[in-house]
Amino acid sequence: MRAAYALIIFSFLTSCIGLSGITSAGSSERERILTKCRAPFLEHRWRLVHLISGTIPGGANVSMIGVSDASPLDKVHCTLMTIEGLVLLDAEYDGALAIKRGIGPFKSEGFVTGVIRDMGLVLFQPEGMAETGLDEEGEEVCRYRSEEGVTDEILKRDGTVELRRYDASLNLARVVTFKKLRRDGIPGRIELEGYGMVRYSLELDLIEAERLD
Amino acid sequence: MDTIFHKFGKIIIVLLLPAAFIGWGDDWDQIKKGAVTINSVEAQFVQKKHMEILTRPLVSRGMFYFRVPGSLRWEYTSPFHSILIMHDGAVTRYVKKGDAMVRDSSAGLQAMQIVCNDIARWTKGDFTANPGFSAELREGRTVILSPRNKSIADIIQRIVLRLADEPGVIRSVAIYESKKSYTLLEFSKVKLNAPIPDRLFTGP
Repeated sequence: MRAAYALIIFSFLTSCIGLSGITSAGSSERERILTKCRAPFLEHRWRLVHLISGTIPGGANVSMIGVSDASPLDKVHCTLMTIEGLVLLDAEYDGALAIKRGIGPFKSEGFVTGVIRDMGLVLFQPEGMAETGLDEEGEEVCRYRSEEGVTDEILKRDGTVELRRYDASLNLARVVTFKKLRRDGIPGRIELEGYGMVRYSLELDLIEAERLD
Repeated sequence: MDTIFHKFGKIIIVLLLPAAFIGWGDDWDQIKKGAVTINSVEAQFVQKKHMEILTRPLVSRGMFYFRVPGSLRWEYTSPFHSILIMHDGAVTRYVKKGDAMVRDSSAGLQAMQIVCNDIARWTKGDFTANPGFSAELREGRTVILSPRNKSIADIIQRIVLRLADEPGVIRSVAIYESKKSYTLLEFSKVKLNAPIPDRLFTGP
């Protein structure tokens, strides 16, 4: 039992690493960095189909197909199904969550709210005015602050983009990595890691992308 | 949770009926008699998933293998690589991650264990083995499977199987989850009683 508590405390401590310092960018650099920071996020309405692979608490691997119809100005429609095509979740979010179909854990409003929140994180630019600059590694950063916490978007030298989401207490909550960015900005692969009490990881590999507006 | 897996099991049993629905005739007795001669099935398939969220169906392709008494390989080759294998009473799924096929533990897989005990009965043409569905044989070799209780009907409304003229060949299976969401599986290049090597049922 003590070992379990120690593990939980260790888990919290390792996720509570805080924000790194950034050196503010000059006004000429700011616009350029802001433009690059917008790249991996949706600016139009898109329908995206992903193969989603994940590791859930306990280490088991799970795989699903996800279809999302999302616009930064409109509602999000999300469907998750087994590889064989059985729909596990069909939900819409337009200020309020509506679960049209939910099987197993996807019946739970709390669980689905978490799914939609993660979708929002990987699809839409974080809210809040962005500070721009260079982090301690010399990589370009956009830092977004809101009431819910802080999100750092780091433009890595290898062409990937990393999001580090901290909660209001500045505990690391999520890390998202956008890889294989296409010319239209849609990432070919997204990796998400959830921290805190329940740790998990998801990998989203793009199967189809269709612009709808 | 057991209830969910049990419910999934009943549904998945029906999803796998193409494996059992071979060597049929025009009534249940003929189906049972015809099924006795079938030892294996190999076929290509195209899966088209229709949903409200999609303007055109999501298309997957692959290969299906079945061998009596209860070995099955359901392999998707496009748009991604995934293999579901049932053999010696065990069910495993592998999904390609990078260059490797990784074993998958999705919840629905536990329900597949239920299938193993029943599939031997299906190969003998016993389609009443699944208490969750009633089976109706209609003209034109169309079979309608309907859930007997609401808890299953909430997940699957009905299954429609269309059999080809050639005995032992199934043309398509449509699985209706709602009015606007269904999965259509179309089979082609069906080979009956061709030898299928063990290795296809023992690993990816």
